[in-house]
Amino acid sequence: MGKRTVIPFGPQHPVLPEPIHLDLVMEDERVVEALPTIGFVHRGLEKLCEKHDYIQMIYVAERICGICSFIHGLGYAQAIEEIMQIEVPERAKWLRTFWAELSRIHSHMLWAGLLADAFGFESLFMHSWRVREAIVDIIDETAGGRVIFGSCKVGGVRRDVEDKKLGEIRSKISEIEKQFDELYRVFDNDTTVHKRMDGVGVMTKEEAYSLGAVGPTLRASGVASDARLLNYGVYSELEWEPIVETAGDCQARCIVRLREIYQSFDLLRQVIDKIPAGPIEVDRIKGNPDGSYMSRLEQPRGEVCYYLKGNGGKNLERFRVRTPTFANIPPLVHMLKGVELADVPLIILTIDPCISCAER
Amino acid sequence: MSEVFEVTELEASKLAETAKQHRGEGYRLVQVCANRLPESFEILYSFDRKEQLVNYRVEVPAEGATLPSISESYLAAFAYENEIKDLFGIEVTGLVLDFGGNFLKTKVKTPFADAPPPPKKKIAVKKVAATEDAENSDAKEPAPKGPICEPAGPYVPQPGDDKAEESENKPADNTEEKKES
Repeated sequence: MGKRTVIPFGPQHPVLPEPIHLDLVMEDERVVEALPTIGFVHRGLEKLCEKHDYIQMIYVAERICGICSFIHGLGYAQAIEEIMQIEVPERAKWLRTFWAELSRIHSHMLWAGLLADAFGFESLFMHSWRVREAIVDIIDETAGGRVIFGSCKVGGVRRDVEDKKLGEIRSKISEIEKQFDELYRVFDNDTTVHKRMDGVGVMTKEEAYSLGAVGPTLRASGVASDARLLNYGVYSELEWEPIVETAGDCQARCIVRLREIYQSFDLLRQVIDKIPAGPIEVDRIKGNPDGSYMSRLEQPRGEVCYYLKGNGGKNLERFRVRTPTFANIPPLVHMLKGVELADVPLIILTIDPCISCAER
Repeated sequence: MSEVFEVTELEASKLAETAKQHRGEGYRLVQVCANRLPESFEILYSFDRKEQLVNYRVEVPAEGATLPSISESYLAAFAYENEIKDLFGIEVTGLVLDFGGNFLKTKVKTPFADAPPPPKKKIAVKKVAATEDAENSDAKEPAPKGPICEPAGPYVPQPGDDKAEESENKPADNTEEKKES
């Protein structure tokens, strides 16, 4: 038995986009155990529901995280609409799906860049973020903000996108897809990428399911689980299937996300072709939420659950978000056992950690 | 088309047994959520299999709250139960991986443990018609016309205050001094 030491990883580390602390119990170069500690970005956002009313809370929900902000707002809005039985206009649902898929593309591209940076491929990181800028420009033109969209509200959406603009975006998406093809070829074929990622951090199907993994972390181990299968929004009217890989290693998790980018491009084209005309918001929202509901959505990182409970007052009684990164912490702890120290940053990044989401 | 949300009441003593049963049936743990009520804590457990959600609500008293852990059946529950322990102060017994209050570090210990604020009392507002207002008004003087501006800053000149006159003259003196220098 080799000598055991404890190496503190984080909260400040060049590879981490957000602070998380892991105590790595090492035996020579191998990790025996990893003990996580979170709370560096805890802002107590759930407790703010006591101060802000249910209409204003959507803006707090959107600001839980910068990368996955739109779907946070969407999940909150859907839960309130279910409690208060608000019927959202059709065009609003399609626009929400449009922005949700744009959000997924930009998040996955950001992650692809960070992953490339994690194993030292800086030029790939730069190019990923360069291609991402085109998507962020589309989001900026349609929603008004690059990071925080601010376009979802209870009862609909805050702004409309003209059909002419949607047509322009459709042709822009095809151009962006061609640029993204080059990046996909590198992730899929490059020898150095394979050398770093093949066979690293393997998680079997049974382990992933029993440890509560969600999102691409689960789908890369062979489980076809996607919260969009719940048919919220307009996903029942679109043609798509969950992207699944079976290897369960870092390369599989990477390929699942990159293939999801292609899938989101296709979903965007379907949404733009099928979006109906009509109003984008309900006329008036009367009353206060009284009851509870849990809405589940698919964020780029996995399944997110929004549990909202109202008691008839204008402030919610409880606002609880179970984010995908929080659900992926136990699988992460499992994956880190037995790996070498140099692979630790890579494995942490392959679960796509969004610590702001995990801690709220 | 949205999924149905139904919650079943469950006693804390039967929690571990129910979790074990669901584990055997192939359910995965989705989330564990705690909520502080005026006199108790309510904890919501959610399990899912093939996109079907099953929810249980367990209620424990606020004073001396203890909850049996389900981490023997669902190892993933250690994250949720440690979070509940750190945020709400609920004692979870039988945790497989117990961080002893150090999982989610906050500046204030158990920040969510306090009872919720009481509902605000509604103040009855008597609506008075516009024509009655002028007749029944208690104001002795008519409201002043135009905006009322109060000077900002630490010193507010009072009427009959000599210093006020001096402070008005000061800027002029300063400019004269500067010209001389």
